[in-house]
Amino acid sequence: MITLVRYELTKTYRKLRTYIGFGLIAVLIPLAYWGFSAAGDDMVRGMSRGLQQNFLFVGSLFNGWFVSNMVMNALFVHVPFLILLVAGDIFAGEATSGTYRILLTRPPSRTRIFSVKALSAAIYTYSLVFFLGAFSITLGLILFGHGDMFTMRDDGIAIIARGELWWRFLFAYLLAGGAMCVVAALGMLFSSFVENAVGPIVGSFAVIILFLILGNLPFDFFESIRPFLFTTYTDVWRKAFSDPIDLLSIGKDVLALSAFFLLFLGAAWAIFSRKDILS
Amino acid sequence: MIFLAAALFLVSASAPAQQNAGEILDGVIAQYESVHDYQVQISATINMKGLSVPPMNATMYFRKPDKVQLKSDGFAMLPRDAVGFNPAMFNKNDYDLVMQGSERIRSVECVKVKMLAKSDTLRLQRAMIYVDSKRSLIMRMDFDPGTGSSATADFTYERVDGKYSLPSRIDIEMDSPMHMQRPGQKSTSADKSKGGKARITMKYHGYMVNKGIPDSVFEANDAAAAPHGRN
Repeated sequence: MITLVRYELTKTYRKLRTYIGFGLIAVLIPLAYWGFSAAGDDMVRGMSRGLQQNFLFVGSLFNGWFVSNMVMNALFVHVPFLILLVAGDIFAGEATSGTYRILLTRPPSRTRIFSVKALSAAIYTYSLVFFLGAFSITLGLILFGHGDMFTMRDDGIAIIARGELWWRFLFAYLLAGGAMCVVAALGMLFSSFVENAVGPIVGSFAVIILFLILGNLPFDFFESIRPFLFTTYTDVWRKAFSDPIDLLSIGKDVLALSAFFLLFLGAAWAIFSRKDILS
Repeated sequence: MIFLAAALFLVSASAPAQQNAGEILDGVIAQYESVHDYQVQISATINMKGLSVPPMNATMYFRKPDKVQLKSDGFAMLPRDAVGFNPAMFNKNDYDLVMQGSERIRSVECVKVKMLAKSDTLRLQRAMIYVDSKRSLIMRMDFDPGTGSSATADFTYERVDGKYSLPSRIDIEMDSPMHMQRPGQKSTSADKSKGGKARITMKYHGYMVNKGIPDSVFEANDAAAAPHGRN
C-alpha cells in the first residue's frame, strides 16, 4: 500500500499542473502583502471605526497574523479551484494519457487503487493548504511583525491574544484542509465519469460556485436548503478564531463535511469500480 | 409684581448655587495641585456583546496641565473618556455648572454637579459628576460619549505615597457601540438584545508620582495621546 501511495504521489508531484497552485500562492501572497503594506493600520482603523469613537486604540493591530488571516479569508474561495486542478485529473488524467487499462490490469485491486488515489489527493490537498498557511504566516510575520490579532466575525469583532494564535492558526488550517478534502472528493467523483480533466475541474468548480451563491441568498427558501449544501460547512476553519472555541459547532460541521466526503468518495468508488475501460 | 419678585428671588438663589458648584470643582482640581506628573500601569478588561478582547495592559503618563500619553507593549483598547481622566477635564470656565442635590455613592454622601459645555468643540459635552465634598473626589461621572449613548464611570481611589488620592479603579458601564449586522443577515430577537451594556474595568497600579517624565514620552509615535479637552 505504501509503495502504491509513493508511486501515486510521485506521479502527482511530477506533473507541472500540481505546482500551479503552489506557484499562484507564491506569487499572489507577496503581491497582496505589498498592497496591505500600503494600507497599513488604516485597514484595521477602517474596520473598527465604530469602536474607535468610544475607545482609544493603543498600539497597532496591523501585523503578520492579521494579514495572514485576511489572505486566508480572501483566497479561500479560490483554493478549491487549485485543489481541483489535481483532484479533477486523478482518474481522467489516466484516461487522457492512456494508462487506465495498464493500471487496472496490474495485481492491485480497483478498491486499492481507488484508496491510494484518494489518499494522494488528500495529501496534495493538505500540502497545498499548509503551504498557503506556512507561506502567508512566515512572510507576514517577517514583513509586519507579531502581535494580537484583530478579526471580524458574524457576531462582531474579536481581538485574539498573540499567545493563542499559533495553535489557533494550526487548528484553522487543519479544519480548512479537511474541508478542501471534500472538494477533492467532489473532483474525484466528476473525474471518475469522464476521460478529460477539463470537464471535472470546470464542472466541480461550477457546482461550488452554485452552492456558494445559493447558500448566501438571503431568502427563506434557500435558508431551508443550506444544510444540504456542503459549502455551508467549508468555512468551519473560521470557528478556530471564535472565543471561546465552540467545539460542539465545529464537531457538527466536521461531521457534516465527513458525510459529504464519504458520499462523494463512495459515489466515485461505485463508478470507478464498475467502469468499463474502453480505450 | 409678585412674579418679578419671585424671579428676582430665583436669580439670587441660583447665584450662590452656581458659585458653590464652581467651588466644588475648584476643590476637585486642588486635590491634584501637588501632582505634577505621574505614570501608572493600567490593566483593563472589557465585557461587551459582540466584542471579544483579552485582558489588556498599558502604561499611562500624565503631566500637568493636560498631557496624557498611553503606551502598550502589545495592544490595548481603552475607553476614551475615562482613560484620560485628569483634573484638566473639569475647567470650570469651560462649563455651565448647576448643583443638582446630593446622593449617596457607595455609602459616601456626594453632591451632584451638572456640567454643560459652553463650546461644542469640547469632547465632554454633558456630564453629571458626583463629588465627595469632604475629600473633593469625583466618585461617579455620568456622561455622554456621543452618538446618543450614555455612560457611567465609578471611581475608586487609593492614597499614593500617603498624600495623593489617585484612581485605583474605574468601572464603566456604557451603551454598547456594537450594532453590527451584515448585509442579508436576518436579525433575531437575540441580535436585538445585543445592543446591551458594555462593562469596562480599568485597574490602576504602580503609581510613580512627581518623578519627572521626559518630553520624548509625549512625542513618541508608538503611543496614543488620550483625548481630553477640545476635539
